[in-house]
Amino acid sequence: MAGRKIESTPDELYRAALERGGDVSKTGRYIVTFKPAAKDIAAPMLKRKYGLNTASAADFEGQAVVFDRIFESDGVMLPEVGVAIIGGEAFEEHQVAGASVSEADDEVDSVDPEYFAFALDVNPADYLKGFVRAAQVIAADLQPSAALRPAITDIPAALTGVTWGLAACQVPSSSFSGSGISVAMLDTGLDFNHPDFVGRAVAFNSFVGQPPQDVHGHGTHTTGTACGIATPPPPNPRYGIASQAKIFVGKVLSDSGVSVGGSILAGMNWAIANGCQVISMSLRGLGQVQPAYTSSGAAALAKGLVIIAAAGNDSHRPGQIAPTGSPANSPTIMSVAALDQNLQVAPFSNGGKIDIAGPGVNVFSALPRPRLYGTMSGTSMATPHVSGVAALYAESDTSLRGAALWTKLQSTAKRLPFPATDVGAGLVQAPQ
Amino acid sequence: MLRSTLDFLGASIVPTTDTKTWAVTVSHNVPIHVLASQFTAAGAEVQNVLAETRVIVATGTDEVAARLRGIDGVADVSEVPVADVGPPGAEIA
Repeated sequence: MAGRKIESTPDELYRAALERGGDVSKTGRYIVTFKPAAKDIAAPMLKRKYGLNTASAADFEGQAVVFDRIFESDGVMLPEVGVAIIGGEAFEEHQVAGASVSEADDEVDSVDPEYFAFALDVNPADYLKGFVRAAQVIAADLQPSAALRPAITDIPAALTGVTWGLAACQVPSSSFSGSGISVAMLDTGLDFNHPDFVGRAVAFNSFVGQPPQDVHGHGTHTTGTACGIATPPPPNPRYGIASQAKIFVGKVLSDSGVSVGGSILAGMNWAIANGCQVISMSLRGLGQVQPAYTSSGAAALAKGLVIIAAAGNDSHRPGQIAPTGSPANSPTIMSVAALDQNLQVAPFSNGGKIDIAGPGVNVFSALPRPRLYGTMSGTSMATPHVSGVAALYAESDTSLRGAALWTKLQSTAKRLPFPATDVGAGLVQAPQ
Repeated sequence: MLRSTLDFLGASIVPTTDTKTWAVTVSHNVPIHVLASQFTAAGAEVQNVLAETRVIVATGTDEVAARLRGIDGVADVSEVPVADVGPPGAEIA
């Protein structure tokens, strides 16, 4: 419960909330709002009546409170707005029940739970607007004059209720689900109690010294695309590909989204040692080919795995195309470029050593509670499309392992009218 | 202050005494745990022996890394690569 103190960081609060379960929109701290006339006596009142010691924003330069620098206090007063934020533990220790405070104290206007605020609130209805837009594009491309245009002409018009990415990869019509296949997701972790993942076969390990619970969001989103549920609750579209694969969650990126020491290398080693068939790495570093990654990729191929990695998002097309980052630039690791809904190369998608392409713009998938779902863009989102499809192929034919699986993914990809340095073999396609 | 001045003068290629984390790729002809013990003797602190991928993660100075490069069976010594996906909520990830 360390994440409920006044000095807890947002990440600590969020992780503690996810671990508590229930209503994870609450931080566990409380907000006491005082009546305007009581602002000046609020702190003494909290001390006198409830034994609560509060710091004050006035103690900080410019009243810019730094929460993790609040020491030995139960809460902090924000005198300009007449509000005190109280740590959850202190609140309960001192038996400050919300209703009794507001009723018994003339000075208090209300006592409320503190809630998280997120930048990525997504309304499913907004996503559906995007789907309608995609359908309009498809309809336009079915016109005779559009015969030569690189559009999603293969998608049956009747297909609804799936993301544009899954439709473009022919996932809904595939008879495979990744059953019997293990997919390692090396990322920021997973929201293990997300309702769409409850009951799934999941193994996990953290290589960054933090719990594997995802508080960043990236890992839950990529895992959702590669291995998410086939039937999420309406009105959410299907967004997951290998819905029955076993998931190996390797937390190799910290809660802030950065690798720690040799965390990525350790995660790759772990996935190989545990017999996974596919390793998905939606991450990228700058710089030249790293021999350690190349060696790891070679070891994986030799043992029947394919490592699939994001090419990176450093381009500003059409003017500037940045080179594929590491580890995707290693010859033994499959690199993935990103496409948009019109099957055009995404403006940010890196180029050079590209092996295949996947949907990577406005990709709908899972997010940690309480958001549950949202859209993201990047080669990070294209990569799990390829990883999920790889799991389907691995299920379809037990001889498709390692280099054979790599070749199959490329030979079955939908050809696109762009250089191989931009899209590789083309858009990944699921087995039928 | 001294370090930044050296960098400004273009002297950052001079080996430093800073401890760094190294990814050491090793060949198949020497048992990896034998190599790991040699690393320790060379002054490196072995953090992780990754037998499946034949990579050893170790810390040490540039001088230690130079010694590791001279050990038979070591194919490459490079600083551990850093990767990221951007901060939470990044527009493109």
